Amino acid sequence: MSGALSLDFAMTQETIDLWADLSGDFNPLHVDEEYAATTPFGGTIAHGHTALAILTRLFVEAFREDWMTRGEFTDVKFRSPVRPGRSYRAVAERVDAADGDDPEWTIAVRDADGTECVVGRAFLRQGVAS
Amino acid sequence: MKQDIWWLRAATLDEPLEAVATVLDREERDGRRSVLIETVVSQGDVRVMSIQAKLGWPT
Repeated sequence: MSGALSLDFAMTQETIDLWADLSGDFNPLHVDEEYAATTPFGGTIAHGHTALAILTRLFVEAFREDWMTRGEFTDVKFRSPVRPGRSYRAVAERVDAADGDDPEWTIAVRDADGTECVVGRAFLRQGVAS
Repeated sequence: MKQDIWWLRAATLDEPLEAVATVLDREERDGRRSVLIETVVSQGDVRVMSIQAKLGWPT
């Protein structure tokens, strides 16, 4: 598959709270708006893997079971907070690769101003025994 | 924080998952301390997912 994958989404406190329930990570920076307002972030922020899960959705929808057994994210960095009440775009852009190389994408979650909140690389490994 | 994530197998429903985190490396240089942690999620003897995370902070 060539070209770019993308998905627009809005982060909400409800999504963050659901992720806290799912992961068991109830750090007040994520779920306590009163406490989070006293931190340098000035408000609650999403768990890093909440945004990463949106990127994962791009690949699962595109590659289904293949992604679940051969997918890989590398060099994932959380550069800027993802905040409730704001809109974001998750994008994966195909990197030109030599014949025989594993398919590769750059991945990012960007806010409406284009600020990169999460960045990294994705691979669909060939010939990996699952 | 930097992470590498591998999906190894699809997890099956209704089977318990176990996550084990291991510190692989610690480093301190140039006024920063960092630690490399590997977390493996398994279902019985089957490895479902592996995450290597490197966390760093100023000393």
